[in-house]
Amino acid sequence: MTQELSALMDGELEPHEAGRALLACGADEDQKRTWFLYHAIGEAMRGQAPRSLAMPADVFEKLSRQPTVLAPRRRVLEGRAVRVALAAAASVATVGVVGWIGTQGGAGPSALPTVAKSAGPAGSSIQPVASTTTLPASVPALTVQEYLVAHRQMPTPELYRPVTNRTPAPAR
Amino acid sequence: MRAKGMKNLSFIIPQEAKKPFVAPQPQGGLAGGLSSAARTSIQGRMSDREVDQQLVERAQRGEKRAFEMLVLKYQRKLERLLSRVIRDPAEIEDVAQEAFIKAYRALPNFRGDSAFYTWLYRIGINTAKNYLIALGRRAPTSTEFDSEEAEGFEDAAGLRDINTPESELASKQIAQTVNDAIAALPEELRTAITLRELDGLSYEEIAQIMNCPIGTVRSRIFRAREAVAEKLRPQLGTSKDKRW
Repeated sequence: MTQELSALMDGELEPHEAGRALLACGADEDQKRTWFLYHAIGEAMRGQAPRSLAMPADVFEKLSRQPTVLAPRRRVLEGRAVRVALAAAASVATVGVVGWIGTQGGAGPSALPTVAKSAGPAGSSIQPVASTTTLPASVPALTVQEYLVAHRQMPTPELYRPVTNRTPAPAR
Repeated sequence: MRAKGMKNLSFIIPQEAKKPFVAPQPQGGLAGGLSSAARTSIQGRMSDREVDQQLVERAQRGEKRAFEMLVLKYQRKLERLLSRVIRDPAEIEDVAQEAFIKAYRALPNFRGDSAFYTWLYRIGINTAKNYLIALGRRAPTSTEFDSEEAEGFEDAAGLRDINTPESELASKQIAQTVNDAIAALPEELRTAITLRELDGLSYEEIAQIMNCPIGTVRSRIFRAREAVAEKLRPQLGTSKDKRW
């Protein structure tokens, strides 16, 4: 178990092993002392030798008098799980969009070229096919043009003129 | 066995060095093909933070013993940090205690957005400032000392300044014991623990360098630590036995 403690402080245990080691260490005073010493050894090797090897018994005593904290558990998805979920969602969305475009694009009857009624001689079986789709009758071309003029990007010179110099709009 | 490309792994006594100990860097990259980019990623890995996070989550679920393990891990580091703000060693100990208790009470608010030690150090610095203000002493301004600086605070210069002759002697004795124990280790154990503690390499990287299985590395590091710990155990006490 002490070997697991050594690997634990190096972050080299699998999560389930780490959980077991933490549980064992927390419950055993000898393991706690070992945990304390192993960290002190690392610090001493890095030139930070402690002033004493005194276990902080005062802190533990004060801690024991504190009411136990209980924080609500948060469900935090692991980074990898989040990436996998996002990738799957993106794939499904892409397939959905492509499928929708496929069904809307070529197969529907509305996309077929409009068949214009022939103005030819009566009784003729030949019916010319219009090469372009026709606009709906309810939206005349003139209305679209007016719309574009009304919403043009470039403002008129009138708008650049200072407010005081603007000519008042004629009263209607 | 000395790994290829490894220039010098001999240990030095930190107290005899004017500067904090810096691990010798092998020339031409580490054996086993580790690039500088790989080393950067090694230094930036989050395993230590993950261990802390596990302990925090356990403490948040009501396991006080998990928080005690965090206290054991960070008590000395926190006191070293506080020694830059407060001069008196006894006061440092009191403020560190208070900071740990405050951190425990505030644990439900810790969401893991930052590393636990960053959060703890911030609490420690604020506790120290409030302590000094309450005593009518001048607290350091944020330009003199900021909690962000805490993350990079690793040298022992501040500690040495506030050491009493007794605590300085004790510190030297501990360092001497560790140095002697490390020097007495078989070379493969000494190399393994040095690569881990000073170079911060993972077991996998040490296994590559030492050309052995990861399980062997794990065993060597454990045996090295245990050998050193055995020498230190007679010096182990509690804060009640000795007050600075």
